[in-house]
Amino acid sequence: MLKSKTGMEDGFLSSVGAGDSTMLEPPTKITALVVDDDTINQMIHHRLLDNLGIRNQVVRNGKEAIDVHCSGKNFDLILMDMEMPVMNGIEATRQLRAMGIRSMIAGVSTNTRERENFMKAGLDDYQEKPLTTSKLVSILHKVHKDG
Amino acid sequence: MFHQLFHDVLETVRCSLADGDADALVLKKHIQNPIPKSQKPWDSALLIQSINSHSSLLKLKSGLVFCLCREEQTVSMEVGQMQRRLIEYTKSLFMEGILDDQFLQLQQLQDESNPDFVVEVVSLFFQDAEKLLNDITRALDQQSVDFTKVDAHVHQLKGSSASVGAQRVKNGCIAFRNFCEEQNVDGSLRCLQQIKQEYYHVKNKLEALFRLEQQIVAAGGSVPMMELSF
Repeated sequence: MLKSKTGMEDGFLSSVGAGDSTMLEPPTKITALVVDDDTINQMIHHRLLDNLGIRNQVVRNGKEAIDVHCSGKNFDLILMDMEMPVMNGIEATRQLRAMGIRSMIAGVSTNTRERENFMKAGLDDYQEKPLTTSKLVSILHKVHKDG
Repeated sequence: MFHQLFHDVLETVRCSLADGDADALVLKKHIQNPIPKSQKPWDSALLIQSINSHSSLLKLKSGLVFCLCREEQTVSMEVGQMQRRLIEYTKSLFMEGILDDQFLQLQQLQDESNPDFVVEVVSLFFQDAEKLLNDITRALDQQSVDFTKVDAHVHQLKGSSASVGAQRVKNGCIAFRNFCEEQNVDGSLRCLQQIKQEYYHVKNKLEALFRLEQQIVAAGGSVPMMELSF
């Protein structure tokens, strides 16, 4: 287990193979936004992120994702479900990019038919549900903190 | 009490008898016959510890330790046995294809700070699934079936069953969606029956698994972690 600067064992740093000097070191820890209407997925994704030491927030649909950004919040990583009521993931991704949000957006879905459209809307990555720790780690390898 | 456990205990005792463990005979006698409250049913060679007026720990020469609860006429195995039993039981669920890797993922997310994670997620799944199964039943019962609606419900059920590792339910949903595409009512009804069976099957199995875990914790043990490869 690697130790972070605060002296605490950091499983996340170890799992992404981070060395002593890494852009993932504290004090600026990675933050994430989970966008999903399904409570089971919300619970699992939240816990997956927690388990890797990533502070995260959960919202229920695309519109709430937009709203939370409008309130001034920003995240390093957004896990975006595709099929959601009110505003779906494709539309939300499009709008976030139009707003100038350059966070890493990873689409998480089971709908392979819409995958291309989803990617075109501005995704950086796409993973099939259900999400696992290893899928999440592969997404995180691509996160760039300086935007 | 957990009946499957009881039969396993009898079987273990029978094997000990076959190995020449005479104490097993004493134990067997008391498992099978009602034990009067006033009587101390086992001889001192067997008894290793009286837990309270109702339960005692008994040890066979083979080393197996049993906990006998006189009043409830129940038998439970000592914690180590229970833990091994839990692992075997969980393994069997994977072997039979009832659970898949995703369930292991959930278990790995459980720790001291989130000790009930798996139970919480699975409980959500039970609630979700039962509602969806009712919705699908109602939708298929209509004069003119709206297959878009049915498909949407099945899609959701497929997602949540996949999220908890309920493999057979998930596979049933995949098959169901084909019938939805074909707008095939009879096929859909048959599929629904099948999925319901698989759902209640996995529900029973998971509830039994959680009961086993509870027994281990109640007996002062910790729930063993499954290894990824077996």
